[in-house]
Amino acid sequence: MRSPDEQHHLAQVQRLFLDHQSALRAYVLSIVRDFALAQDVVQETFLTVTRKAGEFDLATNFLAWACAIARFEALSALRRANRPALREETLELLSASEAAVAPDYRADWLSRCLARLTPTIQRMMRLRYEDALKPGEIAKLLGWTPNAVCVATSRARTELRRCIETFQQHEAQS
Amino acid sequence: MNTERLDHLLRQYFDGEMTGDEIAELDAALHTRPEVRERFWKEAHVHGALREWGLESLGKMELRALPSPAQAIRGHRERSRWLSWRPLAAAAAGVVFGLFCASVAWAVASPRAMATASRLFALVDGSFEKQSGRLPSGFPAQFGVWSGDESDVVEKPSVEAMDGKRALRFVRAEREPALPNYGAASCDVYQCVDLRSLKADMTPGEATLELSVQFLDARDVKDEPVKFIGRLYVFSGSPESLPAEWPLTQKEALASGSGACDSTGGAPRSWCNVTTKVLLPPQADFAVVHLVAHKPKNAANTTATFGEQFADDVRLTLKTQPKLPVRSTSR
Repeated sequence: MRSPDEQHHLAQVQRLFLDHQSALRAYVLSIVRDFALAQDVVQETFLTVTRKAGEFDLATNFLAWACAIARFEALSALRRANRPALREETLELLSASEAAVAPDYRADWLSRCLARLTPTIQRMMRLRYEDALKPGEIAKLLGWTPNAVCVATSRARTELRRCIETFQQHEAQS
Repeated sequence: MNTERLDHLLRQYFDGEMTGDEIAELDAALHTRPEVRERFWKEAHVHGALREWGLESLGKMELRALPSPAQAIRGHRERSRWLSWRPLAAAAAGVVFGLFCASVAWAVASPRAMATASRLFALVDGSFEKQSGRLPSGFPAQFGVWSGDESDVVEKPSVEAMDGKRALRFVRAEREPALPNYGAASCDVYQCVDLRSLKADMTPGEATLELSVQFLDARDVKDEPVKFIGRLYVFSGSPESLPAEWPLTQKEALASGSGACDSTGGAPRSWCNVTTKVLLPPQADFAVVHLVAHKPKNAANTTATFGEQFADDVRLTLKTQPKLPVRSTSR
């Protein structure tokens, strides 16, 4: 049974988790890649964060602490699923990179940039990111090859990133 | 490694299948070259942002077509229609609380060798045996009621029964008139579940709610693909206040989860089981169960029809840390 102070601390830690869940989900996705598996890993991470909440100092960096837990959970999930993964030390290097800090990708910027893509590419992106279809499944629907879907998806991401960067630059100047 | 090769490996990493050798090659490049790590994150950040966008569903983009949140809510209520692919919007409008009966059974599961009590409570008529005919239209007006887009409860098709004799049949997607340029690709059915009475049994933040649904595509011949989805959302507070917070985003649900299976019909027909789970934060007050039949290839500006797609044996399970020795009982 937790004391009232412990309950309060736990609630604060869980609040931090909810506040950072998008960043955590994106981080987990960068490791496991599979959307469904990423969701499971985020939920396992929440359980572990809850269990270890007492170890967390609220004055320190929650996201760094939670990402370390998420990394462990993600690698465990990949091992259980018998899927290849980057090495833990490589993931630690990646996490330490300055580029790991997520840029300001506001949803309305993303939506506006998506609207600039051709209808076919928009559809492909919806099949990929809303319906969570894999490139092979999308290829069947569009009559493309899986490799063509992979290439088109990657190019669309690059276009979107550049488009969002123009919004960022515009805001920085204004 | 040249740029072309790196492009290929990153594409395969985020979208394709990688062999052990390929991932080792990418790993080595990431380990030794800072510029590759930077490139990795550029891809990863957009990939993650797009998935967040995708999770918020098609509806979010279409929201921009709405004149104003208030008008959207008015239009929504006047027409008693629910946006396809907009479960949170659906959850927002006119939900009235009531109590539902629950049968209870205690079971034991042991994820990570940690004893967990599992309290299984049935949704009202999760087997669709207590009703027949057309379901009410629109989002449920009270707890324990299935309602949504055009759908009915019928005798099950002649395949092995999942649970009882009847099943939910998806009939037709329903369009939101306020979005004239947006077709309706999914038939959505909902039930709201009050979680407040269960809070006494939960240690805050250490409970999970799990949804299990059986879906069947009974078409005899292969045809247009259909995706079945089971979704589960938990919210805090009073649902009566949700419409005022329109437009809702996924962040307004404390937690959500979804599972799916795909079908193109044809023999052999078999039920597919879809499961999903969400963690229950201490603030969770109510849940929304959302069953979907969706046609990804449905043409823009058209309404998808179904009629041979079914759902049955819907189960909701609350898993908590045991406060007492595990026991078995029912009521």
